[in-house]
Amino acid sequence: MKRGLFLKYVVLFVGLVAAVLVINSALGLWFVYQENRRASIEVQHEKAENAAQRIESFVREIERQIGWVAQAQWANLPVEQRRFDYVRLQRQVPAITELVQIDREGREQLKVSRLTMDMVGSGTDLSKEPAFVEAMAKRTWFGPVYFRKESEPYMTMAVAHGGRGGVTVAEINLKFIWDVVSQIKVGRDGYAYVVGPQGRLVAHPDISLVLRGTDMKRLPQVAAAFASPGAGDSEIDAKNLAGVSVLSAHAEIPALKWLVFVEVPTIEAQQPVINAGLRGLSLLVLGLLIAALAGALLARRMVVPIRALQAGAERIGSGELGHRLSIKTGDELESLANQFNRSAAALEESYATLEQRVEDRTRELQESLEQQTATAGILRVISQSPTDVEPVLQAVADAAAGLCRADEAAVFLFKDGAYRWAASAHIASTYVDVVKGETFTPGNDSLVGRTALHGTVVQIEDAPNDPDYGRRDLAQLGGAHTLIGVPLQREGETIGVMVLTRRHVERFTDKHIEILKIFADQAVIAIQNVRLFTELRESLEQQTATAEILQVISSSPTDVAPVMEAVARAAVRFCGAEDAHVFLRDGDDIVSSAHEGPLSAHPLGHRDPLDIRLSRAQSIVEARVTHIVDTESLDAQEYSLTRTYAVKHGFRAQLNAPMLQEGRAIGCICLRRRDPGAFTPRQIELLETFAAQAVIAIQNVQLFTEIQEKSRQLEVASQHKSQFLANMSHELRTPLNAIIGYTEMMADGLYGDVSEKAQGVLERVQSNGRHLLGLINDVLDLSKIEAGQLVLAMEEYSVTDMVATVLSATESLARTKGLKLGSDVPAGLPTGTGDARRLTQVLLNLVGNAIKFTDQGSVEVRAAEADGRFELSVVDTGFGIAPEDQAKIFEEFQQVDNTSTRKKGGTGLGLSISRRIVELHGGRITVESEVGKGSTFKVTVPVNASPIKEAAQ
Amino acid sequence: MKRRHFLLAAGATGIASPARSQLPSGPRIAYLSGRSAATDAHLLEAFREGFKSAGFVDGQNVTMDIRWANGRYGDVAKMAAEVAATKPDLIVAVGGNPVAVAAKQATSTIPVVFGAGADPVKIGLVDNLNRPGGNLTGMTLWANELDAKRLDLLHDMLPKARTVAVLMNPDNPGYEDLLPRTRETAAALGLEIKLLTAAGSSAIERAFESLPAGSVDALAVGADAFLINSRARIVALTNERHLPAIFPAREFAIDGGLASYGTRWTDMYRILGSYAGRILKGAKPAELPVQRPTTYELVLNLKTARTLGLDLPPLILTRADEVIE
Repeated sequence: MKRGLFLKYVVLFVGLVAAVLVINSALGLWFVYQENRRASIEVQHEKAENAAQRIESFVREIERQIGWVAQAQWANLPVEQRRFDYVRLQRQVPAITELVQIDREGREQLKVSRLTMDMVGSGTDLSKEPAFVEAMAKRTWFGPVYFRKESEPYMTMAVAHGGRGGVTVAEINLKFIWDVVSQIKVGRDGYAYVVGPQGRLVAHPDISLVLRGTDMKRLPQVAAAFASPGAGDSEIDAKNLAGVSVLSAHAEIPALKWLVFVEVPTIEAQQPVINAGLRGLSLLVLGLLIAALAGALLARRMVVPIRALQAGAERIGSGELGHRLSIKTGDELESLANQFNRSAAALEESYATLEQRVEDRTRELQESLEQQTATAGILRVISQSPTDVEPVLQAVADAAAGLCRADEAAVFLFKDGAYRWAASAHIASTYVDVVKGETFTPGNDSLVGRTALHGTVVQIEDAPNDPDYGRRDLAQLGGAHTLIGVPLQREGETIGVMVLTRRHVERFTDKHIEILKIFADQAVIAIQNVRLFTELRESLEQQTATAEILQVISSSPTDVAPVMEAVARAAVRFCGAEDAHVFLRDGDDIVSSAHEGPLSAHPLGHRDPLDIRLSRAQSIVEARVTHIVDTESLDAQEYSLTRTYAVKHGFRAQLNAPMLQEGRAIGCICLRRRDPGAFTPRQIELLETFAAQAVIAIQNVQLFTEIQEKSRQLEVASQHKSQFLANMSHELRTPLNAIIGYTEMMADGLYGDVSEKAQGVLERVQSNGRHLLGLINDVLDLSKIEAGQLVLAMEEYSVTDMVATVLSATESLARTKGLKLGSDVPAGLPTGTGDARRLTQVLLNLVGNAIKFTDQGSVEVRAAEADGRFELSVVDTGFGIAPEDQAKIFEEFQQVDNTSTRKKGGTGLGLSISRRIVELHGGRITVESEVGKGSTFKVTVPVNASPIKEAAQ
Repeated sequence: MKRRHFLLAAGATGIASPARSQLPSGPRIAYLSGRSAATDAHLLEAFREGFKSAGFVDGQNVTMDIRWANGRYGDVAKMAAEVAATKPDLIVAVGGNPVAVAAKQATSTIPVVFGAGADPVKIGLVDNLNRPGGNLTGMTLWANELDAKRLDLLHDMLPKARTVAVLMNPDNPGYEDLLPRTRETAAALGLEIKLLTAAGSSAIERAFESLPAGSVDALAVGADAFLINSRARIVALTNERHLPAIFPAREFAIDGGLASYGTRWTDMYRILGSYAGRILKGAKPAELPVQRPTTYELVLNLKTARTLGLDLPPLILTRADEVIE
């Protein structure tokens, strides 16, 4: 509304005036324009008529001049006279370039020219010329405009002499009309021009247009004039050759059929209109100025009181409710001002009450905010102090005293059977000193006691003057009058009491009590938190310690010392001791095995006798925990050694836990403290756990050591056996060879003839000797293998050859038993690499066995190759082997124990040796068999074997 | 000359007007005449008048570079080339057909306003009279066309004359065309022709010397720039020999020649001046028609006639547009 209204009034006023003026001017201009156009065209037309007259008179003058000579009798004059007349005529009329006299027969009699030679009596026949024909018929003839040398406009004019006088023909240079046309002045820039019957320009102020033979019909006004001759002047939009808009009028010269145009540029013709427009515009501007002034004056008169209203309303709006408007216009504005005044008065009235309410509300909000802030502060302290209840209680006391406008606040917690001081705020130190020493028990005597007793909020309005109040002494000491006690309750149990005091008598309001209850609850939560947290941490730490010890046990199976050290460390950390010492029992001594802590101790390996005067020895001997709260209080006789060490090592309290193995203590863990004091049951329990773990570790180590010892002994025994066997075999073979050799020589009769009976004996000796030799060889082989002395001699071999060798060696044996011996070896098996002699031995053993354990049927050797391995099978139709025996037959000295096998003899080492040989090649040997149906032994070895280095044990 | 005066005046008054000191900023035209300042001063004046009517005044809003060949037609080609090299806004080539031809050869871009005696189409200046088509336009005096008429008039003046000398310039581009027509006319009039040719100033003397005294009854001088340029000499030689003669330009008669028939050159030069102005204002020479004269004047010098003892017939006197007593 700043300037808006003023502007609006002015604009409206000016707009109205302007609209009227503009419409007026526009209408006036329109009429002026129309009038002016009409007048202009009229003037133009007059000028055109005038021009036409002038041009016509120019031509008529020439005609008149010619007529002066064109007398009927003139033709009869002598030629000198006629020539003279023609010359004179030319001098009179410069436009005539040439004059020709034609006699009545149409023959040229005389020609006088400005350009060519004069001719007299040439007699040229011109009777057919239109000039002659027309002039003879009509007396005067105007020829069409033509252009000499295609540029100069000319016209032929022929005048008959009348009677029989013939005709005078004049060639008229129309460039002379230029003088006439140029002199026609039309306005400032207007001009006239003449157009011939064909539309060609005859005369124009710009002569070059005429000379160029400009065709004017392309101008719309010329075209229109030709289209409707005599129709007057068109209103069409005319343009001149330069494209400028012109106002055009024309008039005709009927005798010549020429049109004379008069044109003036439209802009010039409309100059009066433009002037009128400019006048109108200046009037309009003037009118607008006056209107603006008048509008401003009027608007000011309207706006001033409104502005006053606005200013007054603004003052009231900005809080000046006492302000009153004073407008004396005597109209609606005055009554509006009065209305404002009444509203302001009403507003002022209601404002006063509102203020009071807002104040109250603000205070409430403030208190509420403070309370919330305090609560939040306490919660923050709780979250920041999970392990310590002290700061929380302090915060609670501070907040409670502050918010409840108490002079003092204190918190008491139940501990060791009584309520004791825990935290306080604003309480003088002397009072605190007193209270700190006090203990309160539930009862009506003290405020704390009363609160604890009832488990509810207890308020004493004026303690010093309350006859029921027992501890008036304390109240007086603190100068307290009104007291309030709030219980801190957990699961219905009062674990503490919060007390607030005022040094004057003023009851705590219900609101304060509510706040105090909240604070009490928060304190309880904090106490709970701390307790839970501590428990959790302890539990976690114990588990960690146990896990650590277990880890040490597992990583140290042979050595007990690290375990003992770990146990000592854990005991110090988790059992509340400054120092831990581990002792192990060794016969009737106890030996220091590990130590952790700052106190001086026996060096590791120190021995003490197992003397029960030593508390740790007592613990071992009696297999129980011994707990010394203070060494000073021990019986000097009974625990003389302990007390000696206590002084020596500087400890006062001690806890010993025995390491129990099957009810017997094998050692103990000893915890020590510099200060006297009891260990908690929990700590004792934990120490016992550690002791048990130490026992497990010791047992582990013992077991492990035993196993190790046993296996070492076994190994030595096995080696001895092998060595023995090898030696024995060798020792046996040498004499046996001698026996066989000599027997053979005897049988061959080298030592004389042998009786037939003796021969039989010798053969038996020889046969049994060979059998024994075989046995010994087998044993030798096996012992070599077991001693790791068998080395494979690798070479290339042919499976086909190997099978053939074996068959030829066993063929006689099979034949003896009437068995069919065959083979199935495909052609094209690759050459193998391995110990050929040993493999042949294996195959021989298998075939031999097969023949041995087969009484009827057949034995067949099959060979095949697949995946770079040879598969050699020996298939028989013998007794077969029971499944439970199949695993055993490859063990040393094992034979399927039944009557049939015992009959067959053998060392029982063959298959064992075969298995070892095959395994040394990196192959395996298996059996498939069914009792009564026969067996198939299968050997699989790599085609290209590389010896397995591992020597059999 | 005027320009120099003006410059002197400007120097004398100091730098009075800054507008005047910025002369070179206006258009610059070259005025090349085959004749001399002595013979053509009045024509140059007429040109200036026409130029002024179109709004141009030398030394005020246009600069004119005026050069005279002084009748040395052998130099005009070189002079035209020099003029074209200065790149003026327009070239005025006057005072003889060779000047117009030289200007045409010198440039095909700078507009040329020419004044020529011969038919401009025939001598190759323009394609067409009313639409020239190139960078040239101007006036043709058509003076040669009147050579025949001049013989006719000479015959009217001296009906008894039988032998007439005709003085022509063989170097005139229209010469070859003109000669047979002159002979034709002479034959029609019953006259005998004695042809005199002169192409250089010394040749004029020689031509007259070759004419034995009394061998001819009269003399007709052909329209030719060179001959016109030598008009004082020719008039003197003619009168020396008491020869009645007709000349192609009124200047001859004024200078003492017996008679002249031809157009009024000053009119022509005025039109050339206005054409030059129109072209400077933007008109295209190709669209400005070549103009021809409309007035032809017979000027008689009766003083000379009396000197020669001639009694001129009344018809001629009637015909005369101007008589010098």
